Amino acid sequence: MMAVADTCFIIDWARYTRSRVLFQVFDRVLVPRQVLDEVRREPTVAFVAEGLARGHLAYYEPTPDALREADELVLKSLSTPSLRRVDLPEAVCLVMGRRLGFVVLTENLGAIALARSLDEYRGVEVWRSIDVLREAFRRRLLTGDPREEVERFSRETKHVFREEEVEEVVRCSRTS
Amino acid sequence: MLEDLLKAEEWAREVRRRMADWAFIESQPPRLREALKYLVERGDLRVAAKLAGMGVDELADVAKQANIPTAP
Repeated sequence: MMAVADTCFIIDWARYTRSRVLFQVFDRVLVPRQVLDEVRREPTVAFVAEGLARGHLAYYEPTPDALREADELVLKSLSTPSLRRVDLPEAVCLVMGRRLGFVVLTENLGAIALARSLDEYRGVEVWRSIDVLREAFRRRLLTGDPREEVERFSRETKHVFREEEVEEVVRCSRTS
Repeated sequence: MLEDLLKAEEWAREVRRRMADWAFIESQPPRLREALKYLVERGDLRVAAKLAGMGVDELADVAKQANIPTAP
C-alpha cells in the first residue's frame, strides 16, 4: 500500500517514538516538494532524511500539470462556501491520491471534506493518524493496550482524538 | 457526512480553547501571540505559521509549549 503525506501528518509522526509502524502499514510514503519545503526543525528534518535514506519515504516533484490541478483545487476550496480551505501542499497530496490511488495522509479536515464533496475526488482515501494506528492494530503491527498507545501518541504529539475514534481503535484491536 | 466534520471542527475548537495555556499565549510577542490565538480558533497550523513568520513545524513546537493540541 502506498501513501502521500501532508506536512502536519509528518510533523506528528516525527515526534512519535513508534513511528516505524507507519512504514509497516505502508510500503512507501511520498513526500511532495511542497511538503518538504515546510519542514525546518531538526527533529522533523531528521525523520524525513532517515525515511528517505532507508527508502521508506520518497521525494516527489509534482509536474506542472499536477500543480495546475492542485491550484484549481485550492481555488475551488476557497470559492465554495460549504468547503474548508485546503492549501497547495495538501492539494498536491489529493491530486496524487486521485491520480495514483495512493492513500492521502493528512490531519486537515478541509482535505477530508473536499474528498467527500467533489465527485472526481470521492474515491480518494484520506487517512488521519488515528486511522493509521487503527490499521496497525488491526494488522497486529501494534499490540498491547490500544488505549495506552493512543495516549502515548497524544502525549508525544499533542494530538487529541475523540473518544469514539479511540473506541474504534480498541474495537479493531479486539476483532483482529 | 459533512455535518460530522462540522461537529468535529467545533469539538476541536472547544478542546483547543479549554486546554490552551492562555498566560503563555498572552506573554508572547504580538505577532506570535495573534498567530497562536488564530490557531486556537481555526486549528490551521499553516496559516498560523505564516502569521507568525515561522515554519510550520517551528510553530507546531511553540503550540506544544502553549499546550494547544492538534485536534481533531
